[in-house]
Amino acid sequence: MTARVPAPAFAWRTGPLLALALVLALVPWHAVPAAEPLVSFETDAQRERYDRLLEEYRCLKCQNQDLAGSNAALAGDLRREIRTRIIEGADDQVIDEYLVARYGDFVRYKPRFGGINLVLWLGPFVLLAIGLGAGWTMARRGRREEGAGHPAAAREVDESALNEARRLLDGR
Amino acid sequence: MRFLPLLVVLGIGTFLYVGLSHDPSVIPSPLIDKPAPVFSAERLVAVDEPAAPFDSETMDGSVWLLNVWASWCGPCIQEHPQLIAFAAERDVPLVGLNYKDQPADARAWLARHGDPFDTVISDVGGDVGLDFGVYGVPETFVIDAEGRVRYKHVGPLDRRALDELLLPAVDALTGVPATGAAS
Repeated sequence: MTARVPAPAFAWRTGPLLALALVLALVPWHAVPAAEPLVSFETDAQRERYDRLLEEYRCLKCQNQDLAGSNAALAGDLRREIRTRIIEGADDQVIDEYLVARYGDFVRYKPRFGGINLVLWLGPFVLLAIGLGAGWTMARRGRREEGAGHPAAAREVDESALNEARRLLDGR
Repeated sequence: MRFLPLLVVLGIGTFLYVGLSHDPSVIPSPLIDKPAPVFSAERLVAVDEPAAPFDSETMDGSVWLLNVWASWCGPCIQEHPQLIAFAAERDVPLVGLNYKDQPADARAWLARHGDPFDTVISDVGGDVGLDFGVYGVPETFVIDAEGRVRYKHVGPLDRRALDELLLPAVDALTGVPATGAAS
């Protein structure tokens, strides 16, 4: 009955490891840009346009990332196409048409205002208006009924039923 | 007004049913009913064969299928028996787009799994795929005799998708009634 559990030989290491894990968890990995060979532009204006456009379009492979933040091969291809077009001097509309013609409206992170997308843009406000309207109507009706007294009080009571009730309550 | 809550619940229920049964990874193609991109690219040929360019305009006048695949694509192996069945059951040109692949790998893959394609296009850089709005592999396009994209299937075709979606789309264009083999 003297089975002693030997102390784990590596116990002393868990402390530093835990500390390292905690430190690593604190590094803002999401802010580390996707690996990409540095792209060069002739002017700063071109670079600014490039950076802005990459945030406006979606990577379709990993749908909740923009082109700037995605590591998918498809995002790399689209970044390359956008860069080529910027250097060629294409304006934003040309680039937008290029992407939308291939991947549809969904490639835009911010949906276009118009057409079927109006449902998306205005739907919540319409629903809010309906909700507020319904709430207001119900509140107004409630107040009117309060003013008229409780509806049950106004109801005529059958005289024989009342007598029956009295009889029961008085215990004959 | 008494049934208003019921109507609201039914409305939300319908909305959720439609919304949640929709697969978010399948993005409708803007190319449907629009002219398919015109392209020319190299065919995948055997090592000892001379290079042979493929021009998509040579397909004008016939209904054809463009299947995007790659040797590095796992789901393509699942899909492959359906492509072999399609080639056997329908007399419709089946063109493979070997997307972002090495020709040697592609040839080895076809030798191993069988080659149902009439032509395979080697799209090493993925440029043709980009013009077709390919965002995953496999994808399958049905293109009509006027060169318009009429149907796009995203993801591997299983037997059910072949019978219920792809074959009807093709048969509607070729005017060939579904044969007994398809059921």
